[in-house]
Amino acid sequence: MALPSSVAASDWRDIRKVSTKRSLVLMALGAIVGLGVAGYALFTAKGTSTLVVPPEDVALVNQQPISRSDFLIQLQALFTTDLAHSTAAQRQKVLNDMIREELFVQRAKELDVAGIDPDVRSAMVAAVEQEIAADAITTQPGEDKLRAYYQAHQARYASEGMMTVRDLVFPADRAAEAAGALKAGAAADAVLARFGGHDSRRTKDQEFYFAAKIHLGDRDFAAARALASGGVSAPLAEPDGVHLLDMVQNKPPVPMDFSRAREQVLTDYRDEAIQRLRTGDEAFFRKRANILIAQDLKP
Amino acid sequence: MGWLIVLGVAILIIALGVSERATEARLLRADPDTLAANASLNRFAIRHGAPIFHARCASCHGDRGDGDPSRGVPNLTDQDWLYGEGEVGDIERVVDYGIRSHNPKGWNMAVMPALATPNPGGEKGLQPLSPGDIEDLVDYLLQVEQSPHDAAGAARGAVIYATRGACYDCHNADARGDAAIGAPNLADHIWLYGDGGRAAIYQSIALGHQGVCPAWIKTLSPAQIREVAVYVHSLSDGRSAAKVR
Repeated sequence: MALPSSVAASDWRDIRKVSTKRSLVLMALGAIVGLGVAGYALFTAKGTSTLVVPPEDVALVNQQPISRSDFLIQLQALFTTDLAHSTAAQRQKVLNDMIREELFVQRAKELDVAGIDPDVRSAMVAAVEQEIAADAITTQPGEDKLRAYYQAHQARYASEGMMTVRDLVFPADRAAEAAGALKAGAAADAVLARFGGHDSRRTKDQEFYFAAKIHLGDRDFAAARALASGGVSAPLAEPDGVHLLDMVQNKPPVPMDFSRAREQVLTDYRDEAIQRLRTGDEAFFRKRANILIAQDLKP
Repeated sequence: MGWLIVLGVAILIIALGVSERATEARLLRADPDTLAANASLNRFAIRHGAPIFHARCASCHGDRGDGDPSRGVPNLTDQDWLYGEGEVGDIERVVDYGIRSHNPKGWNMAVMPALATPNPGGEKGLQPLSPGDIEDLVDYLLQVEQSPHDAAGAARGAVIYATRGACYDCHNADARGDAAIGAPNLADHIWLYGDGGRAAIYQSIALGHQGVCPAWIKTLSPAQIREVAVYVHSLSDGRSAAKVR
């Protein structure tokens, strides 16, 4: 196409003047840019079929990527080596294994293995639950939220109580006298010798409350817990005689301040968030699903 | 003339974008553990990784990446690596899949049990310890790192460490830890939790720990993950304590 003679060759740069040459150049540029963007999108957008393996992957199996980072982890796991120190044979072995696995997974989907294999079903349920939990963990709660949670559940955050208690057993007819002697401050071993008693050895040295509870049983532990250091319990009748609990030292649980309890607070906060998300997701799955229930099992 | 400038700027922006994508592709295809040898790629990754670190990781690890022992957040600027040997590939795996992140590919192998609770070992059948046992273990660990301790307590603690405490199982018989499962070295004066004093060690043994790092694989692109891994690698000198030893 010839340029109009009235337009000088240099006038195509002047935006105020009509220029066929400029129009053609801009149109061509626009077409090139458009083609470039479309081509890039065509080969990189998710879900599109491509002949080019993306740089983050080592292979595409029916368009399903095998990621480069998984390949490196597998190489490390199988041959205890990194990429730089691996041999071509090692790399090929890992790649072939991963392609084989992907092929079999794809075939399993075609066969609807989840429909027939209870292990696969369990694994899929667990995987979805894990996925939900992973989403919850990615969000880091702020300090203000954690402090509010701590304030709302402060009773949970305390050290474990500790006690050193002796469980002394006396004949039924001498227990009252033995209790009197212990309360008067007589040494436990002397009282045992004097009143024909013995140490049951159900407890040993200093114990955490939970351990003392296991060793003493619920009733005796409750009696022990109520004693101050140096205190002696009321006589407790048991099949083997009458027991007296001689509390050497009782350290009740101490509430933890926020900084000390923070890790546990964060764990509890996350666990609750995960549980909420799982419940919410399940409700959503049920809501969008078409569930038909047999007449005889309808609630 | 004005439209030519606009056109020039547009072409420049497109060219820069294409060049960045091409560099990202080279970064992704490169061997992560030898990236340090490629100065231009390394610089590119660090430049792009820094803002990602500050947006995603600094809320826990701090702007400088030096962590916070009061919260058990590891220092990323020293040579002590809990998981792996501090190579870009090791760091990338943590960024990808996290630690106790509920991602099936994450590092979920070991948890520090709370030995002052009724059921510290869960399914492993580990039994709780008494307050005195824990005091003895503290003395043993203080002895291991050559700090002041009670010798008799340390001797008893050594037995507990190697038997019913089952500490050796993760931290190794020599207490130097195991980077394959993220068990800290207890002999290097670097403490993940607290100041390494008696009270802090007692609390770790009594209440346990299970620090978490999220998995970013669904949030960040592969290139961003590689970039932030290279940036974190650059915060230390890249050598791990394990290698230095």
